[in-house]
Amino acid sequence: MTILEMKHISKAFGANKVLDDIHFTVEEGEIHALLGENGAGKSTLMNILTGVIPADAGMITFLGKKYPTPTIAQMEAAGIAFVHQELNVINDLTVSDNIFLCRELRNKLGILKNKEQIARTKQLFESLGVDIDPTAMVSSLKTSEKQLLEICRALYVDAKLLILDEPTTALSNAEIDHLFEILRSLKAQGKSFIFISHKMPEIFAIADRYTVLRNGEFVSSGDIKDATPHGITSDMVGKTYVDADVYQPRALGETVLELHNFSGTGFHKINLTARRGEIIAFTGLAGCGSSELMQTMFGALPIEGGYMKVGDQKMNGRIAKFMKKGVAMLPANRKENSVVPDMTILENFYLAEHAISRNKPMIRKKDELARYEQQKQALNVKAESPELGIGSLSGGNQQKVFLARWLNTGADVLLFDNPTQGVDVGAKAEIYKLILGFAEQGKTVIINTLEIPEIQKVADRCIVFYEGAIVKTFAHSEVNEHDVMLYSTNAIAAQGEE
Amino acid sequence: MKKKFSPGKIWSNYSFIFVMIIIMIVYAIIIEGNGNAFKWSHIAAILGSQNTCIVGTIALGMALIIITGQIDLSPGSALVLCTAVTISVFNVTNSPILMVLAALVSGALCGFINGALVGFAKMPPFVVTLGTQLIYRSLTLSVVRTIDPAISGSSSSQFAMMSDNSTYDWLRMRFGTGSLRIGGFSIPYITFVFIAVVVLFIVLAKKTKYGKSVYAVGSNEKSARLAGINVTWVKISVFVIEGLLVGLASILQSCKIGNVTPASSGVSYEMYAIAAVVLGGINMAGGRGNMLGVIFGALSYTTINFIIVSIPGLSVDIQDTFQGLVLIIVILIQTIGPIIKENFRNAKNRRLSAATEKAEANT
Repeated sequence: MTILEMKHISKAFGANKVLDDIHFTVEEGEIHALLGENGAGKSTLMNILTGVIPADAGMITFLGKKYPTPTIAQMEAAGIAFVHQELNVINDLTVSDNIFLCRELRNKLGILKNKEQIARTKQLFESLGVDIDPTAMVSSLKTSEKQLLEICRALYVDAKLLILDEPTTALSNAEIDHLFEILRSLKAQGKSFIFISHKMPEIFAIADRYTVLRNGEFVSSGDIKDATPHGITSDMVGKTYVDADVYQPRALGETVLELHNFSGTGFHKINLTARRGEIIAFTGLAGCGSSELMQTMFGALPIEGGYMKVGDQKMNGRIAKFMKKGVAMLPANRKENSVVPDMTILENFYLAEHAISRNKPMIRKKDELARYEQQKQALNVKAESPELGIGSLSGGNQQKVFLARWLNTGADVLLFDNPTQGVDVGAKAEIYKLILGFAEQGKTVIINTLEIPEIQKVADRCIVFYEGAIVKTFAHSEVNEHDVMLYSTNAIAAQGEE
Repeated sequence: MKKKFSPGKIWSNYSFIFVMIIIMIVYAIIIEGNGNAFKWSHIAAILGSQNTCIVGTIALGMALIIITGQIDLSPGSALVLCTAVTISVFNVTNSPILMVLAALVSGALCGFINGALVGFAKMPPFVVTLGTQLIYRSLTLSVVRTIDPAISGSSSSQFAMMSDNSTYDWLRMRFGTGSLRIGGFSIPYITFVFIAVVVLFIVLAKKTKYGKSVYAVGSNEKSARLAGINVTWVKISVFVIEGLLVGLASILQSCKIGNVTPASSGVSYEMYAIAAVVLGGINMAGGRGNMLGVIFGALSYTTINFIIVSIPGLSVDIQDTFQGLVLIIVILIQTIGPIIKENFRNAKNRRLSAATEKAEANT
């Protein structure tokens, strides 16, 4: 029996069409994998289903009832629950308090009936085969237990359809197995799930059917047992146009950077060398450890094993020490990690260079302005006055100011973590050109990115990470979206198991 | 690179000057209302008062700490402790140099204890300095009752500069309470000390790499760290600087007042310092503010005191009420102003979009 039917769903934000005539159905008692790359429209579709945002066109039918303009409250009452990726449990309350949050059992005086809440929680857990103490503090639970708690909370209100948004990102393999066991038993009881994940092995382990979206359009749907990881990956990435005009191979110089059995938070035993004038791309799914590796290579996270050599010197210590040896890192999440919001463009620009020139404690504004103007010209920053606040610039120009910040330190090894995040298309193309220019000048550039076209535009080599280890290195000519996706989702392993 | 001058911008950047001018005018009106002429001597009294110079000096360090997004509740107590040390050293050695040295070292030590607990042990500054506030004063209190009067210079539960010492006259009478006559104006010597420190701090905040790193830490700690700034060290250093200023303030206290009473001196000075910082337009959330504001904040605060004292029929006990009210009103204007402006803008946008919708519907 079909419990959910979404027909002709379309949605545009301004001129930007994010969903175009999508069809999506879920059967009773099935686990339905919803697949697609970042920006394919999965979250928009789910937000429409749960009433968070209204659709421009289309009809939702759930359990035989039509919902032309659903609201959050309506869909909750109808029995659809969204288990978000970031856990929405409250750490400082007990397990049963969390289950009954906002629907507490109270007596006439408004006093909580705690005993009854605990008893009912116990009952619920027993029926689901969950082994969590209802009186425990949520802060003491493991991540997988928190995930389960959130699922239980949805089931307590008798949800018929649960949306699980990447539920396994924070879980270990054993925890994933436990979660899947419970999902299977719930499925047997007639509950349905929409399962959003990027990890191919998981999808083939748990899902019954799948639907693939790409760029807001419906691509394919079918039974998992008839599909292959290869085929689904092809559906996800499609054929993408790549303009390779900008890329040109360069003559590479001597080895300037070496990682040997380099280990730290989220990655282990990485071996890698990089040469003068080389551009290397790191890629992989969120949480694959490449961003952490980059931060460790800059001294922002502690080194836990192995070594990193720049030139012939082993690196350790604080960030400023790495900077003095010519390493620079443009961090991801510009607003959080780069912007100093109360400072002017000029101040934001010179801040990093000051950390390595403390022997001259005074600021000579004339010199700073001259250096700023020079970088501004070179990077084509569009800013009226350096005295304006950094917030007055667009995302792309802000990012250029931060590129300038790091070039101003005279670094030879440039680590760029997601450098085109929150940057419009035009500025993106400019940043690619700049990156190629830096390599041309003999700098070594490593970029960490999830966008494969980006890799094709600039990288000499592409290194794919999966769960903290290098799984594959592609040369420039070998990079294509399909193969990279195959390795970063570890679909290769899933195929091997079949 | 033209800078636009709008009244709103000048108000928001230099509100502390307007606040001080308004308060000064009120003071002048009240003096005139009492039948006296408002003269330079009134202003000189404000400039040379201990509220301006001693609290103002402490407030400069407080400003740095607040700019990093932290707080210090201990300087009032630290002032008592340092002044006790300073006066004792003077009484025993009769050496101004050793006295200055003792003041600065004891102050820096008090500040370093705060800074180390905050920086290395990652404790919240509010709790650490609340603890040391209790400790510094209580230590001084417990010593003052038992110490040899030959060291403390007094037998009545206070530390006092001994007038038998040969340098006493110079320190107390010439420097501490004396003033320099320039033309028709006389300005107290200790005011020059305060102004010199203010100038030093304006330069420190505006023209040095260290100063910029202080602002960066308060504005976005993560960005500051990833730009290579040693955030821990910056956080500790501002407490040490505040300690040095407390040491300097204890020299001023010794020379101007000549004594310190552990039970009652310097009580609430940290609060007055915070108030001066806030009146000086420095953002309590950190990252923003002008050191120049602190001098105006301190002057405003002193003037409010003088106003209350000069209103006949008002007791000194009501002083804090007025100070509190002025503080709240000034900050209220600063915080509520942008909110009102935002509401106006939103309402305007709503009207505009409603109008366009109507226009679209008509076509």
